[in-house]
Amino acid sequence: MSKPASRRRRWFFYGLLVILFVFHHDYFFWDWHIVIGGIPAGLVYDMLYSSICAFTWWMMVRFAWPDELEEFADSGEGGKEGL
Amino acid sequence: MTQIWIIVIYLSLLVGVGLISAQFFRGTSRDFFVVSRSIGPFLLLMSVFGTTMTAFAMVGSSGGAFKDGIAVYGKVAGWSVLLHSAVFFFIGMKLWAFGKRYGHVTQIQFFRARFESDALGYVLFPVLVGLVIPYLLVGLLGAGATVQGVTRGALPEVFTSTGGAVPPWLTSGVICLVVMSYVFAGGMRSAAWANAFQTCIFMVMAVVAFWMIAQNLGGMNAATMAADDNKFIREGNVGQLEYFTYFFIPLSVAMFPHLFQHWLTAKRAKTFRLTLIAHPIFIMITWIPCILIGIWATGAMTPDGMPLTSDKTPANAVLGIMVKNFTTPVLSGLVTAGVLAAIMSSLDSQFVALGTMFTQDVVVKAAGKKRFSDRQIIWLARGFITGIVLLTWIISLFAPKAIFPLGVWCFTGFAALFPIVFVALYWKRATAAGVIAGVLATAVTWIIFFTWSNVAGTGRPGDVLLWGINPVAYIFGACALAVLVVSLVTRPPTEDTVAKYFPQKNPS
Repeated sequence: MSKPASRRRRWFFYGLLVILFVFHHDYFFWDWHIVIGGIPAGLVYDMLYSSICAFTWWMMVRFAWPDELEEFADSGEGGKEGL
Repeated sequence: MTQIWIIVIYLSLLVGVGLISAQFFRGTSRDFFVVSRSIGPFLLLMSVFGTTMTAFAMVGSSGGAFKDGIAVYGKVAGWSVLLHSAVFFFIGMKLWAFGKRYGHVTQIQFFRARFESDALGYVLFPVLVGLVIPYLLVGLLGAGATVQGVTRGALPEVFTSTGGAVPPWLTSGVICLVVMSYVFAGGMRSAAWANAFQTCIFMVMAVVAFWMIAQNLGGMNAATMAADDNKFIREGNVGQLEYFTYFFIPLSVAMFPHLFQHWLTAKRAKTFRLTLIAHPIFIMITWIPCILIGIWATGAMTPDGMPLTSDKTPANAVLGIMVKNFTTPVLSGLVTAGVLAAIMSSLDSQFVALGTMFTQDVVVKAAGKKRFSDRQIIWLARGFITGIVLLTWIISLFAPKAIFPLGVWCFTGFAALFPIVFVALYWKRATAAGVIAGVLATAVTWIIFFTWSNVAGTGRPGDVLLWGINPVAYIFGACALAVLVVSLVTRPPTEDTVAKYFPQKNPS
């Protein structure tokens, strides 16, 4: 069984999610008409943002995974009460 | 005719995939409702993604970009890439764990057990069903309109009243039959397999259509440079507060009954990992091509040098117009199949979820579990699914076009109910009375804004932006406030229930 992620580490990643929440708002290219490689700069920002979100979730999975959830679901009388 | 043949072939393949998956059906109600909690990472990703994406991902995104430019990505998809995975992580995985441990199959079962209240189930059931049905109708009507649009003139002698196009009642009827054939046989297992197949279809079709249209417009750069550059920016296309408050909408996935059921199919918590990471990428792969196609439509020309579109072009027709003019009839048929795939990948899960709710939350709850054998429960669910499919199809024959704005409001309703699932999982002091108050506050404020939007404009949430803020923010606030205040003044849940749903964490 892997060692559960520490509380501090988890909160660090939750903090990253809050930062991503703030940076969703495109303060940078809100009214820029620039086109980069055939794609408007604002949309490039959105693509970059989406990729960073995916990468952050990869890090969450890798470094802040709630192992106790699996143990909780499988332990005790698990699943015998219903379906 | 080419398009019709491609649609027929696609639907036949879909039935084939669904029926093959039904061969793996284990004959138990646990398998019918939650696939014996055995789904692996790939199928979970594909089924969850397919279920959350609707026709809006292809048709609505390109139409939205045509009208409001790139702003539509940030408003809808941009928030979803962050918040969908967050909901899966903080809400979905916890519900999966409680579902697996205590045997919950529906949201109502979870809420009843968590708050020790049958009354909560009676209040929540009609609200959830009431929000899903318009969502189903929008899917059926959208499919009918899409096929009618691409088959115009194909069979003039057969369908004289529609100018030779396949009439919507026939398309929606065939779609109902197709979906019912496989969910009847294999329940959620067949829905998951079919969703995986459909997700592949609509993602691939979005990319292929994009590539072919770009080639025919002289490449991406040329296509973009010819377009209206006011669509390249957010300024003037969306207000700052409206853009920000759209973040409430993706929270709706936390309360979708059909998504709840998909979460419960996961074999392990780790099964969610691939979904958390790949879901944002999948959203981007599906949406970005369609957004660019919508922007390109603002500057695209016909072969004789005339503008292909104008301000009066209906936004939802943009994808069809671009595909028809800049690809082949074969690809046009394939893209139509992709749009149908996006629609049907939500419909099948919704039909199964409603069938499950009527079986578990109404009949089994009222009569008692011991009253029925496992086999009888499966047949009850099949009966309800058949009844719901038939009823939805009949309503779709008479539903006015005004149902489309109502579909948009469904997302608002689900999103506004987010506080009740959040407090159920994260606030020990939350009470049944508090949650009932939250549901009622949502219903009342939802009706007020919905009525106001119909009086003030076209019935869409965008018509009633109070101080530039999306109405979902106010309805969400009303729900949260009601839950908070009423919970604090009513008797807290018993220690047993708190211990059951708030287990001691490992010291770390």
